[in-house]
Amino acid sequence: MVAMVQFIPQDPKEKESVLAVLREYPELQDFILRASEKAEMIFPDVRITLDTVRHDDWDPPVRMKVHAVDTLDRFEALFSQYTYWLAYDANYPQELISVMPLWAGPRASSR
Amino acid sequence: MMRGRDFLELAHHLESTRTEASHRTQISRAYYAAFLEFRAFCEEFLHHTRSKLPREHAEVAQALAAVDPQLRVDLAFLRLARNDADYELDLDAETIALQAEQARRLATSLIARLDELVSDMENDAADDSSPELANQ
Repeated sequence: MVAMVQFIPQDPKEKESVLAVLREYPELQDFILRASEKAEMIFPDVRITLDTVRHDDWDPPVRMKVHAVDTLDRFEALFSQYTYWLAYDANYPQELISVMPLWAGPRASSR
Repeated sequence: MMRGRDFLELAHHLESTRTEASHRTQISRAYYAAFLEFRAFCEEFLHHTRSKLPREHAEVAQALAAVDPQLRVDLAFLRLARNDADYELDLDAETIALQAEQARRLATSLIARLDELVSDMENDAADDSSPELANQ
């Protein structure tokens, strides 16, 4: 659990919620660590967060957001590399976790 | 007749309206553009029967996995982004603006991939029914 600490939310309620999911599904820790390592390999500037936000009853119990800083053109290409890995090589347990690679800017300065 | 991709045209049209509400709407329309196009594909090519239930969003994504697992992952991501845009009003305006650009691009890319897929499948079907092949 030590390496996971950096991804755990600060908000006490959300923190407990995430920890409860990780206790219930201990196999998720391995996936989260692999997915975060892969994200760090692919995206040059990345931050990972976990939460337990769900909107539909079939949504998995936890989400992993991958916040990546880059130009949108480069991010778009790297997003495709990352979701290819998720789809084909990651053994991605989609019933337990949703991984969301999100563009965190910067936006073009003028249009 | 209205098609799913028509919602993407609207999302692009809304780009000039740079309000948070517009950005959130763009994300939502981008998702529905892709979802509805893929639903039509699944009905035509994968024997999917429309259930008209909320869970159909998951069913269409799961059906796509048989064709291309990455399509399932990408469509699922877009749905999550749409849910955040519609329901998570605490997300700040700048984050939403970024996600609007990302969602429009991804939906555009997904629909382009779908069109290629349909073209390949139709070409394969035409080859299968070619007289030359039938005579071999």
